[in-house]
Amino acid sequence: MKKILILNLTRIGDLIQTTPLTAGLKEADPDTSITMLAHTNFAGICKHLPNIDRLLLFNVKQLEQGNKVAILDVYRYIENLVKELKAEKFDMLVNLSHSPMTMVFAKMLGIPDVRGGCASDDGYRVTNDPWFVYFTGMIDFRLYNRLNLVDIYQIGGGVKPAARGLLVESEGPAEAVKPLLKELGIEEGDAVIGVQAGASLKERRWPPEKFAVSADEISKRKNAKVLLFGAPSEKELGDRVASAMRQPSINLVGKTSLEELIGLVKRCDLLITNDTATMHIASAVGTPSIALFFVHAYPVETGPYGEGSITIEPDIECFPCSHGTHCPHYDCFNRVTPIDVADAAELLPELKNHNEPFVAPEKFPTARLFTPFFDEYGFWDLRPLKKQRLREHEVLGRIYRHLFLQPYMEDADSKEWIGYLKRNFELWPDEDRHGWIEKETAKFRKLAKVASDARRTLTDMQSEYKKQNVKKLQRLAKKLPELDERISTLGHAHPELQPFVRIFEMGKENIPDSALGLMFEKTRILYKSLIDATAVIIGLLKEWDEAERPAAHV
Amino acid sequence: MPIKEKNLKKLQKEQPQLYEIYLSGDCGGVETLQSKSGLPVFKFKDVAVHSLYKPEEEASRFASGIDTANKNIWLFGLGYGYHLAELIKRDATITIIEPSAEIFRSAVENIDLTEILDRCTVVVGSSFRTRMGRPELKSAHLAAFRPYLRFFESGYKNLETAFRVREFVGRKNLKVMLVGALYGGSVTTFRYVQNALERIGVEVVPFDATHFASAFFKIEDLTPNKAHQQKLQSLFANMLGEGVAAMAEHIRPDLLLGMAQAPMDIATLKHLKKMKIPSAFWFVEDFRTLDYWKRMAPHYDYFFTIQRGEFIDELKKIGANHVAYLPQAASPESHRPVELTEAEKTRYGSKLSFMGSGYFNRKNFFKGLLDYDFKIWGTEWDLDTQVGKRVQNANNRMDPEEYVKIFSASKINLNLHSSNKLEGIDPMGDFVNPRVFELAACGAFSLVDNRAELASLMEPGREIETFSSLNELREKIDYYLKHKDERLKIAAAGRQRVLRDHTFENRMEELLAAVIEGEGDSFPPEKKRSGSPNLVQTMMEEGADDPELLEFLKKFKPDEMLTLEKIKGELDIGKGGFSRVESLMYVVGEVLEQK
Repeated sequence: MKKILILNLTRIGDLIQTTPLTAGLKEADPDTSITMLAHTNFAGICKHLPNIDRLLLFNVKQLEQGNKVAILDVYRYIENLVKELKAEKFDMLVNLSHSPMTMVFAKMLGIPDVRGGCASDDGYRVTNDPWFVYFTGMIDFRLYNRLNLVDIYQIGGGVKPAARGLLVESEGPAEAVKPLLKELGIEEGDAVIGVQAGASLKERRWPPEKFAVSADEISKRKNAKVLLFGAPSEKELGDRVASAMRQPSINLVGKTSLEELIGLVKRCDLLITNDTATMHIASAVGTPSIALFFVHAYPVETGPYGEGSITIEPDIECFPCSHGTHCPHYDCFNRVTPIDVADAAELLPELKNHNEPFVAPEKFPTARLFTPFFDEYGFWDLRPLKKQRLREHEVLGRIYRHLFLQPYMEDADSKEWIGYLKRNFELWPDEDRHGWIEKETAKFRKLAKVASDARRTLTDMQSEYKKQNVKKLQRLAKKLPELDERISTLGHAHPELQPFVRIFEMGKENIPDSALGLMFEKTRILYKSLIDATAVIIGLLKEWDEAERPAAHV
Repeated sequence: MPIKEKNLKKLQKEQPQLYEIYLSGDCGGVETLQSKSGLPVFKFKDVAVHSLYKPEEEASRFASGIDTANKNIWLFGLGYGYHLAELIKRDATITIIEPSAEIFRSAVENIDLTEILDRCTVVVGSSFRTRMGRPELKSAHLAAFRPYLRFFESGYKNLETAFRVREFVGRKNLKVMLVGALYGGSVTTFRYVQNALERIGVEVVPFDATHFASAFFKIEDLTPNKAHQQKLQSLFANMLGEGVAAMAEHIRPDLLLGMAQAPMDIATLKHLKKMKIPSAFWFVEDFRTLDYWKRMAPHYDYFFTIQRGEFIDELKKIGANHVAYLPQAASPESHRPVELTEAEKTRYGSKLSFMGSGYFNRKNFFKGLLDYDFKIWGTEWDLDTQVGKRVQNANNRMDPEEYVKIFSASKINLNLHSSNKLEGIDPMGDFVNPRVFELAACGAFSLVDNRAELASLMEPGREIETFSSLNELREKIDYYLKHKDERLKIAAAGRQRVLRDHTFENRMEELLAAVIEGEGDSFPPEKKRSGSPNLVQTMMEEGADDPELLEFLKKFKPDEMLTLEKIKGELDIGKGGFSRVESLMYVVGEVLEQK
C-alpha cells in the first residue's frame, strides 16, 4: 500500500483543485492511502472531498490562551505533528503550498519522494520534480503558460490528466438544502442564478454595482431568481449588490454553511462570479459559470475546470498583471460591461454546438471570452468564443504547451498547435509572420549561444579539474557565473524566453553543494537541456512559417 | 431508488473501504423486523437492539446523555441509527465505531445512511486505531449505545482503553524510555514495542543495548578463564545499567520500560526512584526457565508477565508491586499476509513447515513427521541428522520480512513451544509463544501444541487448531491438508482475532493504562509554567529536556521576552542549513506570523 501525504495549507479553492490529483492517485492504485494536511480553517470543505483517507488539520488556534499563544506550545505542537507524520512513514509527499515554511516543514518529515518545494540540507529550496519546478517558476512567465494549475498538480503528483473534473460531494448537500430552498420560496422549475461578488483578494473584485446590473439583466431576461453568495467577511459587498439591484434578490452572504453553499450552487442554473472557491464548487457540481477575471487573476491558470462555462477577461494589454500589482487606474474593470456578462450568459446553451469561435466580431468590443474544454489527451484548455487578433504570446504559449506536454501525447499530430491558432485567431499576413519568426528565432538563438558558451566553459573546467590545474580552474570558474548572469538577463530582456530561463535557474538552485565532479555533470545536463529545448522551439517556429507559406514558395 | 442501492452507490463512490466491507460477507445473525411504528428494526443473536415499538424515540434520549459542549464525539454502535438522529444535527465532529460487519451490512440494506455518512466518520470492525491520532482525539468524548454492551463488551473495553490511553498520551505528551536486551529473543519484541508505543503517540527514547553486544561478547576473547569472563561481563552489564540511569537523568522520561533481559540492575532502579521516574518491566520469559525475576521484580513499580497463576502468586509473595498478566502479541506491520512470486512459492512452500530454533524437544518430536513434505527453517539445528536435513536455511538467521513468506507459502505451519528438557509436548505448558500470534496475523493456518492459556486468547477449532499428541497432530495434518476451505476459514478468523485483540498496540495500551491508573492524577508530573510563557528564562526551564532547544535559547538573554522578530532575526532560510530546533523555530515563526 502506497502512503501519500498531501500538504495543502492554502484556501478552499486550492483544496478543491487537488481533487483530480487524489482521484487519479486512487485510480492508479486503489490501495493508495491519502492523508491530507490542511489548515483547520478549511476543514469544512475537506469533508466534502472524496478520496481523502485521513484528514489532519493544522491548528495552532487551539493553543491560544486568551488570544495569546506561548511560543513553546506552538513549538511542541509542531514537533509532535512532525513526529506523528514521520511515524506514518509516508512514501510520497506532495507539497502544494509555496511558502518557505512548508519547505522547511517538508524537510523535517524526511519523506523519500517529495513533489514540490522542500528545503535542502543546507537550507536552500529544492524542487526535484520538473513539474513543480514549472509550477514554482510559472509566476515569472504566466503569460506564456497554457497549463491549468489542476493539470500541473496532477502531473506533478505523478498522475496523467484524463479529463477528470473537480470533485465535491454534492448529493448530501443538495438534499440538505431542500427545506431552505422552500423557505426561500424557490420552487422546482424556477430559474435560479447565483452571484458571488467577492474574491479572496479585494483588488480582484469586479465592482458590486456592476454585478447588480448584470444580475438584474439576466434575471429579467430569464425570469430568474437571484441568490447572492459570499463569506461573512463579504457581507458589505452583498449588501451593496442587493441595494443596487432593481429586481428582488435573496441575500445569503455570510449566512450559508459550506454544505448549504454547495447545495445551493448545485441548484443554480448559472453562477456569475469572480475567480473564487464558489466558482470551483460550481465546476465540481456541474453548474455553468460566467467567471470574471481581472487584475492578476488569470483564467489559464485557475479557470473553471470543466466544460460548459465561459471566462471573461478585459481586452487590455496589461492583463494579467503581476501578483502584487496595485494599479493606479484598474481600467480593466471597465472593459467588461454588465451587459457583456448578461450577453455571455445567452451564449451558454450554444457552446456545445460550436468547436470554433462563433460570436460576431462586433460583440464584446473590449472583452475577451473563452470557454474551457478538455483536449483529446485529457488536458484542460481554453478556446476563444470570438475570432480575434493573434497576439504574440498566444503563439509562443501554444508552442510551449506543445513542447511541455509532448511526453503525454505520444501520437499527437505535431502540427495540432498550428491548427489551434488557425481555428481560433486571425493570423498575420505572410510578411509580418515571417519577420516576427525571424526576430524570435534570433532571440532563442542568442540564448542557445550563451548556453553553449557556458557548456564549453564547463567542459574546460571538467578537464582542468581532472588535471588538477587549480589556477586555470579558478579562472574558468569566474567566467561561468558571468554566463549564467547573461542567461538570466536574456530572460528579463525577452520575457518569451523566461519559461526556459526560469526552469534553468531553478535547476541550478536544485543542484546540491556536493562533490565537484557531480556538480559539473548536473550543470552540464542543464545547459544541454537549454540548448536542446531552444532548438526545438526554433524548429517549431520554422514549421509554422513553412506551413503557412503559399504552396508555390515551399 | 431503493435504500440499499442508494446506500451502496454512495459507499462505492465516497467510501470504498466501507463498500468493500459490505461486499465481503453477509448479515449473519442479524434478523430484520418491523417496529410497531412501521420502521425497520433488528434482532442480534435473538435480542432486539432497538425498541420494537417506537425506535425513533431513542434519538432524544441518547442525545440528552451527551453534553452539548462536547464537540468531538466518539460513539460505539451504529445499529440502525435511530439513536443518532438527534445527535448528528449538532455542531460536532462525530466518529461512529460499529464493531459488527454483519450489523453494518444489515443497516446498509435497511436504512438510509445518507445523513449519517455525510455527517459522521463511520468505522466498521477493529481498525479504529488508525483514526485515533492526536488531533482526532483532541477533547474527544466517548459514549456507547447501551444495548451494544451486551454483545460487544470486550470490543467496547478494547475501544475504551485505546481511546483513554491515546487521549491521555496525546494530551500529556507522554515520553517513555524503552530499554532493550543486549541480544536474544526479546530484542525483536523490543522493536515491536517501540513501534507500537510510537503508533499510540508516545515519544519513545530507546536504549538499544544491541549496539553494545559485540563488545560484550568480545570480552570472551580476553581470557579463556570462564570465571573471569563472567566477572567481566557482569561488570560490563553493570556499566550499561549506569548508562541507563545516566540517560534517564538526561532525558527525564515519564516512564522507563524495560524488556526482558534489559541491562538494568538494582542500582539502576534505585537511581530511577530517586529521580521519581516510575519503572516497568515486561518479562516475556518463562519464569520456570529464567529466575532473575526473583531478585529484580520487587524493585520495579510495574511488572508484566506472560504467565499467570503460580507465577503471579510467587511475585506477590516476594513483594512485587503492580503485577499484571500481559501476553505476547503480533505486530501487524511486520506480520501480514504477503503476495509471493512463483519462485518464492517454490522456495518457501511446503505442505508442512516449521520456523524456529532447534530446541531439544523439537529435534526429537519432529522425527515423527519425516514422512511428510516437511520443511524446517531456523537456527541451531543439527544439520547432519535426519531432521536436520530438512532445514532449508543452513541455520542462518532470518528476518521477519523473510519468514512471513514461509508462513504464507506453507499449507500448514507447525508451532511447538520450546523446551530443552522435555522430549515433545509440555503437558503443563501454560504461556503462549509469540509465534501463535504472528502466524495468525499473517493469515497463515497453524497447528500448535495445546497450552493452558491458549483458549483464553484464541478460540480453538474456530480461530486456531491445536494438538496434544503426535497422533492427534498427524490426524489433523491429514485432515486439514484435504480440507483447504476449513484451513482458510480458521486462518482468516484467527487473523481477525489477532488484529482485534492481540497486537502490540493492544498490549502497550493495557500496559500504559495500568501505569496511568497506578500513578494517579499527578502523572506525569506537570512541567510547570512559572512566569510569562515567552520569557526566555521560562522557556529554558520548560525546555530543560531538550538540549538543542536550550542551545538555541542561549542566543538570547534569560530576562528578555522572545518575539517573532527575534526568532526570525536568528534564522534566515537560504543561509546555511537548519538544525532540528532551528527548523521547528522557523516554522513556528512563520505560523505565528500568519496567525
